[in-house]
Amino acid sequence: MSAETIPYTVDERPDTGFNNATLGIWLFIASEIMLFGGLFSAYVLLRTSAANWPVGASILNIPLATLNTLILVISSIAVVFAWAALREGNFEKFKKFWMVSILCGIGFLVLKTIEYKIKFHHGLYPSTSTFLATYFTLTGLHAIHILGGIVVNTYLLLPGSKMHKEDPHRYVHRIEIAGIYWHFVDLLWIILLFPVLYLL
Amino acid sequence: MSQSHEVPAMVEVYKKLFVLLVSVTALGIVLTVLHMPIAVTIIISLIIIGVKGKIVFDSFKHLLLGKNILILVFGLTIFFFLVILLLPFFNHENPITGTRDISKEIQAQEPAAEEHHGH
Repeated sequence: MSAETIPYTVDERPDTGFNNATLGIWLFIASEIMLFGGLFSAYVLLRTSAANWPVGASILNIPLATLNTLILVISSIAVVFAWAALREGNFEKFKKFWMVSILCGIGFLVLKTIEYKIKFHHGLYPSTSTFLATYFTLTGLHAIHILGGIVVNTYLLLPGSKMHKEDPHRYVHRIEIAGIYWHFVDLLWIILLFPVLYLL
Repeated sequence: MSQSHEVPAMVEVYKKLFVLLVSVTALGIVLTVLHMPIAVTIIISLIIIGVKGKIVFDSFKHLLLGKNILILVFGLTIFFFLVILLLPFFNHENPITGTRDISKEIQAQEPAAEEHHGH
């Protein structure tokens, strides 16, 4: 069997106007919107059907969640700066900013773990109430997405960065794709999860 | 994402986007401190979520618009998301067990129980 290169790895396809990876990540994000959309729909149904539903601020830790929001905003900005540095050909600068975004992701997970531990310490588990079940499901799934992003971004920073020497154009493209995913995960928290669970 | 000469402009767009998002998020947090009635809080929070969504869409629309396949993909996504969101409200025959307001049922049972103890 001969090794064949998948076409349109970097060049745009004439039919879609995208290369394969870009179209792939947008389709993936669309499926992710449906995944979280389904859970959000369940949240709305449960909340509107419930006789009593607590305000998030009365149970959840707003200062910790606010700090996590700021961490994700910084992380997204770091990704943008890393991408810009790479486009300008400054690989060292890229590595620094990319590392910042990874550390921010790790920081988010550490704070989330602390938040969960506080809840468990107070005897608040997913089985305690429908509100907490919804909270742990939505934030837990989001945390898994953050973890996945950290794994991919770390791979691109360490072993995956060899590609920068061999095929820089393709490497820049990979960083763009990973960046789009990271922005999605950050925005999901900033726009939806934080206000809906903590503030409403 | 873009051609090389567009990079600084794109970075500026992203910077503005995140400053706006932080500002609107701060506004949302202030709402929780003010202790307004829950209905008012929910309405204002939903407006804030809408504003955030609009800010993000305006910042990324240049990536989406003009690409027919993306308009189709995200158009279908939004459509089916709304279907998922609204579908449960059309089903009145299958309420979720344990989520109905049982306070009236308890109130109705209490006089009967007191009567029983009285005898």
